[in-house]
This record gives sequence, structure tokens and C-alpha cells, in this order.
Amino acid sequence: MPDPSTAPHADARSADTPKPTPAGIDPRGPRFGAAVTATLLAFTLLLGTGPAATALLTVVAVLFVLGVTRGVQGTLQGLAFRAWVRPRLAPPTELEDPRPPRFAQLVGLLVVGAGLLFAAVGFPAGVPVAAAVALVAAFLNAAFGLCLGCELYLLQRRLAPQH
Amino acid sequence: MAVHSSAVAVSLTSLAPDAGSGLAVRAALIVVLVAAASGAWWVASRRAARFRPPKDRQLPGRPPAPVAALTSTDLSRELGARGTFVQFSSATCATCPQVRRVLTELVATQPGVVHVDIQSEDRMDLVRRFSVYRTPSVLLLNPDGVIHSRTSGPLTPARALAALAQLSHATTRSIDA
Repeated sequence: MPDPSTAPHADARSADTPKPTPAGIDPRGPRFGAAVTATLLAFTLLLGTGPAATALLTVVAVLFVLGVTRGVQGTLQGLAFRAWVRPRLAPPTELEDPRPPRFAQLVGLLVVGAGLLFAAVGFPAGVPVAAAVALVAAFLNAAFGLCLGCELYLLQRRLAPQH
Repeated sequence: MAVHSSAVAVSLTSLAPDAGSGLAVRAALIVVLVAAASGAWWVASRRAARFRPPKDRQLPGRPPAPVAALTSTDLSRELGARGTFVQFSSATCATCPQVRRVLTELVATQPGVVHVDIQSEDRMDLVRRFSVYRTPSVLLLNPDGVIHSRTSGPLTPARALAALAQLSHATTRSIDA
């Protein structure tokens, strides 16, 4: 079977992309990853506060770190998607720029990291609150393909000092 | 009396749950979160899907704001004789390629219509001037560069065509008048 990540990209480039972009990824990969993340976050919320919840949220944070450093296709969910899920699916109709979901992983890491930080300095409620916020974002991504973290990018650019 | 106080105790436990009922409360919280997120998404996507006229940003007691318009100098290219779709994209925009494809195909079949794709990071001046808060956002300009309508988020060819038809209708009407 030819590698689907290279074949459709050739015609995506010849179509109308004004700038060369990094090799596209199957957009269902990040959504699958978000579904796994959302499940982990739901379990974190079910655990409430305590060492177990903190540990599970730490696992999610580590997954986000992988996503930030290696891109969504390099996370454990990304590897699982390529190994077990994508072979069962039809080839993707279009490919996605890997940069937006990677930026969203950074937003997720900041949210979850803040929760862990609050827990570390004596506010255990930080864990469920961060898990709830991240769960909403991961759920929207998995269910509807809406990347909430990506939406924050332009807002952050607007807040930057004008020049 | 005993029954009454036990009812109070039950309602208190539901407010301050212990380990047993806590799990049910947390599970309910997850359901509420997911339902609220779905509802918000549904409302937001319905609002964003159509082209709407630009908001009148006039504040009470202030002189009327100048008409929001873009010139060919702003865009460094000629405006379309029928209309111009100005798309705001960004590096971290997952939906932008889809919108770009829709508008590129539409422009190819519609004479006098121009599609301009702006990389928002490079044109923060326009982003601020036209209150762009998310990418992709699309402004539809009339032949004079005045913003006729705008939208954001995913775009279908049918919505874009409908907006264009509405613009052509408005333009012909103003010529007749």
C-alpha cells in the first residue's frame, strides 16, 4: 500500500496553495488523538482530587509535551492512529497543515500545566478545573473537528503590542 | 420529624457530596460540560455559517464611523468588477485551506470576482481595522471596496454563491436608483 501521506499531497500542492507548507497530515489523526485525550480527561474528572487524578492529568500533560515537541503525528495517539485506525479507513479526501493542531497542543499543555501547578502549591481543585477546561476543548475537536486552541492564535496576536 | 431531617440530610449530601455520591455528581458534571459545549458549538456554527452585513460600530454620541472599505492599495491588487472576497488566513488555521479551495473554485467560474487571501500575521493592521477575531474570516467587498457582508469559519460553495448573488442584487439596485 503506498504511503497516503505523500500521494495526495502532490495534487494538494499543484492546486492552489500560495506558499509551500509542511507535508499535510490526515485530519482524522488529531481528532482521534483528541478523542483519546478527552477520554483520559473524563477519567481525571471522575477521580476528583487526589494523587490518582493528579497522576492521570500528568499523563495527559506528557502527551501534550510530545505533541508540542514532535507534532500531533508524533504523539502516542498519533502513532496508534497510524498503526491501527488509518489502515481501516478510506484514504483522506484532504490533508491538513500540521501546525495548527500542534499550536493547540501547546494551549492544552498550558491549561493542564496550570492545573498541575495549582495542585502542587496547595490548590487541589486546580486538577479537576483544568481537566474540565481541557475536556471541553478536546471533546469539541473530537466530535466536531473544531480546534479551539487554533482559534486562540489570532486573539493572542491581536493582544501583542501594536507596531 | 425524623423523616424530615433525613430528607434535609440527603439534600445536604447532594450539595456537599462524599466519596460515594461524589462519583455520580462528577459523572453528571461531565455530561453537563459535554452538552453545554455541543450546544455552544451548534449556536456558534449556525451564526458563523452565513454571510451577514458588517456590524454598525457607531457609538452613541460619536460622529458616524467612516464606511468600512478596502482599496486596491490595501490589497495591492485590483478589486473585482463584481465583487472581491477577502479571506483572512493564518498559520494555525485548520479550516483556511478548505475556504481557500471553495473561493478559488468559485472565482474560476464567476467572471469579475476576485479572491484575495491575506496572511493575517503579515497584515495585523487590516486585522485590527476590520475587527477580525478568528481565521478564516471572509469579507465580501462591493465593486467600490465597501464591505457588503462577512462571515467566518467553514464555508460552503452554496453560501458563497448566495452572498455573491445578494451583492450583485444590491449593486444593480443602487445603479437603478
